[in-house]
Amino acid sequence: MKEKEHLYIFNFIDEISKEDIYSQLYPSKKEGIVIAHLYQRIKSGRYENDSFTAEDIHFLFDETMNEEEKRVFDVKGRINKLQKYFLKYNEETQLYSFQEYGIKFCRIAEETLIGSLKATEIKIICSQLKQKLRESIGDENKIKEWFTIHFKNFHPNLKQQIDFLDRQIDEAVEKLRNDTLAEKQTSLKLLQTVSDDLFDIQEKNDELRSAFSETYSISTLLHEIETEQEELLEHIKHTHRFFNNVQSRLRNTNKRLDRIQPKIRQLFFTLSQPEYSAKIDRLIRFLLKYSTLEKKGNDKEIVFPKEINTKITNYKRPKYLLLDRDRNLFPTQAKPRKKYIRNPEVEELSKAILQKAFDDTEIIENWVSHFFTELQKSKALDISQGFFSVLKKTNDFTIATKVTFRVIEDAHNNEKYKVNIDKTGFVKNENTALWKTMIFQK
Amino acid sequence: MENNDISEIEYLNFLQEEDAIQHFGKLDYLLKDGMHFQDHGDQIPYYKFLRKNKKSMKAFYHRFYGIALKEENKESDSYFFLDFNDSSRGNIPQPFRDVLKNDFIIIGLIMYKVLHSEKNLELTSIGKLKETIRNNYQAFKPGLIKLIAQSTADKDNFDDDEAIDNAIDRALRQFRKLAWLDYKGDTFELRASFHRIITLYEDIIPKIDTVIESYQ
Repeated sequence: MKEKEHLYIFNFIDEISKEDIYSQLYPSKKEGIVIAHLYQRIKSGRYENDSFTAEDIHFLFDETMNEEEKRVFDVKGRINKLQKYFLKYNEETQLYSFQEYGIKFCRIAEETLIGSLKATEIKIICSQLKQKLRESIGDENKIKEWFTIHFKNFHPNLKQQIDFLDRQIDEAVEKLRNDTLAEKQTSLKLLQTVSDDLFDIQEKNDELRSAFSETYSISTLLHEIETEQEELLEHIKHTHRFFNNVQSRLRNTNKRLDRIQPKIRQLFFTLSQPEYSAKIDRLIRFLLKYSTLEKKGNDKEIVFPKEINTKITNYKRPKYLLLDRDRNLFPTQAKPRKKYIRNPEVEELSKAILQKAFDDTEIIENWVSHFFTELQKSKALDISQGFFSVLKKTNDFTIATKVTFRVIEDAHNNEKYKVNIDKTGFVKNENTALWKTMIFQK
Repeated sequence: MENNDISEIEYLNFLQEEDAIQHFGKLDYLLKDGMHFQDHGDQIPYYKFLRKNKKSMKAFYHRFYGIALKEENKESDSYFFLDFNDSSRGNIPQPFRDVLKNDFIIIGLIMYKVLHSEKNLELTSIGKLKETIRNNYQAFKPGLIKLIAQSTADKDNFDDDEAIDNAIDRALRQFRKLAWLDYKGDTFELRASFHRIITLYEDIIPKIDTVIESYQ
């Protein structure tokens, strides 16, 4: 609790704004250069045990100053100031060495400037991160460790890589623009260098994109983590955002290069023709100054001075004449319409026939249901007899036949009934004879 | 075959190519429309066809139309086009001649200056281009107001600026038809063939100083 309170009270901005603290954290240029020299020498193993003498520091300060500066510059005071965060002094050995802040300070600057990691290294780091994360899945403590130790260490390095590429493009493009703004004729050599630089950047970007491809699998793994711990959820969210950001920036760098590179190629022409650009400029001024406006129809058109020939840029497309028969002009002749005269007698007759057909259907339906009701009542039905009773009642052979066949068919198709046709026995009535046909309810 | 002279029959060779049916008809229309063809995007199949049949197609256009099919390569990617100016003018019947409007030529030359001569490599926004042409070249402004905005105003004003912007839009549309550039939304991209605006005037540019002198 006490620690938290302490953190709360600490105000970074207030602290860093204090004059002496600021200058102790961020040295002046002269001091910074000396520090950089010391760092470089330590890295190259020039100093035994990475420690150096006061004389070494004095020598480096001397190197950076002219006589006048040497006279007024308080080197001792500067060293004293640097001892706050950058250097430490060992009284026993009487030697100086770097404090952690000094090392980090130089390393960040160095890495930012050179784009420290190689693509192959990033690839290895990424696949190790993936491996570690895969092993941690299922154990929340291990996952937390992955975020706070493994990933955290790697995160600033990654970000730097990408910043570095974009800055390199800026520099390359600026190199060319600066010449133009200074009204210098850009040399072909410079253009070639820039073109080569951009090519290298493109290659590096491609390498980085492939190196970062593992981060897609890491993202997928992160998706699979199931947890309710606030802290872990927060980590997952941040990491996702970070990877998305990295991937989209790499894609954008690629797009940016895709846009610039063809233009660089196009510039070679402009440069191989010295004086040409200036002449183009004078041509524009000439056209703007001496061209006139001439009325043409309702509009005014620009007319160039007579020295400038008209340039034909395209062949006006001929109007292709389509010999199509226009239906509006030559409509198909209409055929005379046949008129029908109404004949009341035929109409009446047709109506009667139609009405009879309707009536017959109804009569048939009624007879069929009558026979099935009979069948259900008495369990057996002599439909050959039925035929003759219908014929007798209706005096219509067609109706009697249709009823008989409907009953036989419906009974045959229904499992509840059985149709029995006796081909030896006949039922006769006047001129008609039928096989004796019985229907039973099962 | 009776005619054994190879140069006589060469102009028909490209018609026997397998993909001639697919490409030649459309390519012919577009070339006559003034389109420039380069190794880019949708044009790639046509560019390849041209590349492959360069010799016989050149002979064809020369023989039947009296026009030169050219491939230009300004130390950059190459592009094909029909040069209607190189051959004798008489070969193109009057009703079929079409010229690039002078408004567009002026804008094209200024764009060339801004984008090529001054190496504004990352200027890809149409809005930014208009702004640059209107505001960064005070020496051009009075001429643009007089000729493009067709105005007699002696102070910058919104209407004239708008007229210039609209003319730039029209010029871009025209240049896109020629395939000198392409655009989508606010982003435009020059093609290698944008050099044509300069090669179109390569008769006058080298001697421009003499011409100007004669006006003083």
